[in-house]
Amino acid sequence: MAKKHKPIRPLILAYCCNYCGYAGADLAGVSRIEYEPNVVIVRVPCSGRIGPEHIIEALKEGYDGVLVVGCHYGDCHFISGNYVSKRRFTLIKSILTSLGVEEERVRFEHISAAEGRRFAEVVNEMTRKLRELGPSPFVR
Amino acid sequence: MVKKISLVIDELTGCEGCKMSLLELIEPLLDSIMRDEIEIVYAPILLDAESFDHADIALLAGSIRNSEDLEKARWIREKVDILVATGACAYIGGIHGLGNLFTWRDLVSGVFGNVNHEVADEIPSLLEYTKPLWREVNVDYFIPGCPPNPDTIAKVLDGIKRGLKPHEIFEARTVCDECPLKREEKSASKVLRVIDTPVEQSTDRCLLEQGYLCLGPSTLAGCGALCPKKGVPCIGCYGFVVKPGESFDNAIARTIASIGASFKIEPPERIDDEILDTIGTFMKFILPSFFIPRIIK
Ligand code: SF4
Ligand code: SF4
Ligand code: SF4
Repeated sequence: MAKKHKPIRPLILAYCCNYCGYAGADLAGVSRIEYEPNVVIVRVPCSGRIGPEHIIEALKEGYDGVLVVGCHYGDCHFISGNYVSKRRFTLIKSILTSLGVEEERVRFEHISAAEGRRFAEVVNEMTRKLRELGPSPFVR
Repeated sequence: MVKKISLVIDELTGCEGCKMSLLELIEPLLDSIMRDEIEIVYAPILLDAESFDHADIALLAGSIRNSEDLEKARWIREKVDILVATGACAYIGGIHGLGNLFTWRDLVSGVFGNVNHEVADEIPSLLEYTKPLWREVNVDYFIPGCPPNPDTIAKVLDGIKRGLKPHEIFEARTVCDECPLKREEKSASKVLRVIDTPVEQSTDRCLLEQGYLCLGPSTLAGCGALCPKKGVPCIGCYGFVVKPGESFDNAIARTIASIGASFKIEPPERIDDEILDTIGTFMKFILPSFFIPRIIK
């Protein structure tokens, strides 16, 4: 994260798969849906690309929350990427919450290319919750 | 004449298992000791020397759990050229690192009930959490294992003698590479526990593929696949393979991703319930080396 300017807080890192999540976020944009600006979107080829290391890294970098967005089950462009991603996500989330990291800081959502509004809602909801929780314990 | 190597052996908070492994090593070393190539200058289990001025190599086992451990680790570090973190406790935190899931206050009251937490002056006080050596002092080499196989200890000592770097001593081989069980590239669709479903005595099939959570694919080789050979899944006591320059976090992440997620469980979110004790399964020895080494409250 760039250290030069003071980032918006809370700050969410959203890994969005190219075919659904990112397309959903794109739709939110072209439909001019207004939503909280507290999200940095990283477009990835498939949510299956995202594993525990990316979630850990985002927290270590000082993001207050991490969002992984994949397709609905059965819709994955690569057939099973979102299943794999969800399993990995579930395990690392379980470990993080066992260590006292708040549930709401790490979130997985299934959002299709047609659900621009849903994407905006998720970002708004997560931003509100993170605002209540306060800054991540890993902000240096 | 070859220069005499002076050796220090000690243990901080541990179970004494590492000391047993180190003692086993003494026998093969006896020859060199007789020939005056190696001298043990400080080792409370063997000698009554109360101090030493300087030594070449220290084999230090155990983790840093209390103020005495911390003092001792620093004391030894100052006096030796090469500090070797010996055993899982010293290297990555060890099994009692799972105590980091509780605050030290909860641990004390859980065991002793409602006692006064004010510790008497003469007793070393507990630190906030269990730490591997690397969190407090510079470590030059490591010997994995809980306890390390004496062959592994000998291998590291030999590597040090030959001037190898730590990652040159261990290739990136895993327990699977040493395991004789047969793999068929299948993945299991449910998680089995040895306690509920004992492993078939005569099995020759990979335990992970049968559904037992075996950490062999991620765990550093060196034990000769001791556990899977006897039909018990590997619990990762040698620590995960860490590539040069890589963090423990990455090694842990890779393990969770490759082993945990290899189970074809549906719906995917059920995987955590199936495994039951996710953190205890994947971080049995390595929790104190994770970027969150203990419960945050
Ligand atoms: S590494 Fe294992 S054998 Fe060695 S002291 Fe720790 S618990 Fe005991
Ligand atoms: S039983 Fe374990 S160590 Fe052996 S091949 Fe299977 S996963 Fe690897
Ligand atoms: S098989 Fe795994 S748990 Fe067993 S001794 Fe080897 S590394 Fe340790």
